[in-house]
Amino acid sequence: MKLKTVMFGRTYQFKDLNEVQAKASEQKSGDELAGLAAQSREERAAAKIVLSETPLSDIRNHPAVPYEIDDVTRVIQDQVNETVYKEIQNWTVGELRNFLMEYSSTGPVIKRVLHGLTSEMVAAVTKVCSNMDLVYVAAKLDYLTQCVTELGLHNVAMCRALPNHSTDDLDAIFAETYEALAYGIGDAMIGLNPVQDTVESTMYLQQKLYELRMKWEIPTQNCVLSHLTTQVAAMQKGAPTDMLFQSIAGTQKANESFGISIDMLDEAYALGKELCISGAKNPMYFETGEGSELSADCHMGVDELTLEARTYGLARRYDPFTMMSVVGFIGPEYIYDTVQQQRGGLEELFMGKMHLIPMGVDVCYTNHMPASQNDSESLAMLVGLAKMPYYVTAPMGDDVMLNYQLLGNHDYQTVLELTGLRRHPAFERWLQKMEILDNELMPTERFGDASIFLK
Amino acid sequence: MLNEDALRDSIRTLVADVIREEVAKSGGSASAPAAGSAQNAGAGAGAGAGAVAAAVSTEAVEEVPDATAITMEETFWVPNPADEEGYRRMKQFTSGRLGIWRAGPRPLTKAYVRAKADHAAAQNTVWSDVDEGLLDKLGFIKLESRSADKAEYLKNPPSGKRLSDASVEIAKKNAESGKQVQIVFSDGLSSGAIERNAADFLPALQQGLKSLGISVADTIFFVKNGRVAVSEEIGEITGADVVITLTGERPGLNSQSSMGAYLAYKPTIGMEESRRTVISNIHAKGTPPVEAGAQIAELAQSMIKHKMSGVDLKLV
Repeated sequence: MKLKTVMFGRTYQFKDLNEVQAKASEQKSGDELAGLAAQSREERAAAKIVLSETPLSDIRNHPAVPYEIDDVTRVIQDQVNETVYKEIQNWTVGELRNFLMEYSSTGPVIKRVLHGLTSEMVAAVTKVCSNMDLVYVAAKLDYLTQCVTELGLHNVAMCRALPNHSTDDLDAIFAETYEALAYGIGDAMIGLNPVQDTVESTMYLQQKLYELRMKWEIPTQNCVLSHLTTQVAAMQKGAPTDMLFQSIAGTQKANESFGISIDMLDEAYALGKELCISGAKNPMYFETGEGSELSADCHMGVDELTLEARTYGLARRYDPFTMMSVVGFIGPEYIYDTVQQQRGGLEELFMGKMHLIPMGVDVCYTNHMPASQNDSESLAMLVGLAKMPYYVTAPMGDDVMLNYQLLGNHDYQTVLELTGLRRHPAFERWLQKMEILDNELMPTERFGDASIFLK
Repeated sequence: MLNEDALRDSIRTLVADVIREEVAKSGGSASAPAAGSAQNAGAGAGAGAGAVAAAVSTEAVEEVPDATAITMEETFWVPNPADEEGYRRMKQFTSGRLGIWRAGPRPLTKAYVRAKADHAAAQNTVWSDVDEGLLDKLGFIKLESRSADKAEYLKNPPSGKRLSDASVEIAKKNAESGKQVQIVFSDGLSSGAIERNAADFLPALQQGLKSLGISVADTIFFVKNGRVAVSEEIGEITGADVVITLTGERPGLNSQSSMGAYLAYKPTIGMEESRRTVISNIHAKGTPPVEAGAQIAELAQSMIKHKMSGVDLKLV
């Protein structure tokens, strides 16, 4: 195993692969809090050099958490395509990076190789990529999934309406939804984070959002993001459910702290295919965030980027409709400031796509982070260049229930104009029918007027 | 809301004072600007006080109205809505920023600068300290956590959960033994929450406890850069049955001064979160401080009676 190097006359020795991975990671407050981060810039660079020379087979043979004690590791190892893996097992991490950048490595060429990777290999190559590398590769990769509509179409960027309210008041939820629709937002989903996590409440909200979708014939899908067990119970009692949501993490213990297991996810996935009224091929939706394992004291001595990659490895088992990392939401003790938020967002988008998932990043921060809306807008333009397929926004970026700041409704339209990316074609046609967009797909005088839905 | 934010007012007063001084120095006779325009002048004062003095002395000061005086529910800027009355009614359901219109695809300038103001206030309340004068006036015993500064407090939560060595000694020296309830304040994530609510809240709580026949320590501790769990250590030092901790909650754009109350029966260092009972959202527009004081006194009584708190108490 490669665990040592000399740099400028000084020797750097690491005790195992997990230490190399942790110290090669860009600076994150969560790794510092866990006592895993590099002690200096030089040590970080040395770890990157060692990691770049590490063969993929060493990473395969030394998963971050042992196979015997962790079911997330078992999922990741068991879903590797052995034929593809054998072709590339002797590549170093550095060679994998070069391969991803090559002109001959088009999207389909890269995608084939991805079936032979473990999540730890994806985390490793992320750590030897610059921000522009991450954007460049992410932009090559598209995946198509399907719920009511498709997500992940080429050169399409879809957006979630986020109509949260502090008491689940239906009038407020509808007001926020109308506002989003009036800004051309909602083709990815109308996705509500409820305050009350009960079966009755979830059934009621699913029913009301379903009626809204049917009344206005909106080509989209709904999601009520209560706990998976709550949604499944509501669906079994007849709630009109388009997809099933759950927050997931990168270790078995952390998932247990979320009240879920692989068996539960497997069962929900099977039930979703059977019972979701959307007829979804991809009935699952996941949200994640760096630091959730450390927050639950279940990080097992592994850095937060590697754990995040492992989370995507678990997600891949269920071919989710889409997935979202809430990059600045977990707190400044995990992602401290603007620099870490920007880096984290690009890493997560790249790693999600490297797991064959049409990935979204909730470009966000909390008010106790040293970050601002300017920083979020910059990241929004970068993920636009990286062809991120899934956004989420709120009016002026303010979620009045979860009390955090994300992208604003205005920002989504602006990113589309700047990048030339488009909404889902069926949603474009619906917006034209509603006279929110004109024949050239530009905003009309009704764009931004939510009162057109008050009848 | 913003225009009530004490911290912000104090900054405005300070800026106004600086300008008054500069005007006096330059022999100008302009009256001191009101709070609304102090911020604009303040930007100039930062760049160079002399320039401001010159500007103020030669031109009449015109006041820009307070952009933060209007609530988000009242804000409405859509020029030709399909149903203005309905839109305005709909806006009453949420404090989300609805009906704010656009310039091309971008927000209107007034929506943009208003959001900047709200974000500035939300961040200020995290990064500023509670006014020392207020702490003295309330007679709080001042303690500090192990966090050296705000950055460490935010990055390293464990450092905010324990007292500094010096503060342990101060706490021991001032602890009153044999009292049933100990009150602790900490800044948490909002100094404004303490500045806005403590003075109204405290007498309501103290009177509520006394009327229920519960003894409460006269000594009240304030922990700078303190998280909720820092009161576990104070609980161990004082030996009180119930420790009531009041702390600043994470600020949002529409509520920068919200206080949370955390109660625990015989707290111990490193105990499970599930042993705490929480009353959140204490501020003028949430649960009013005076009302919360009475409610929390009753909760403390229940904890003393059942000798438990948190999830266990819920099950009683």
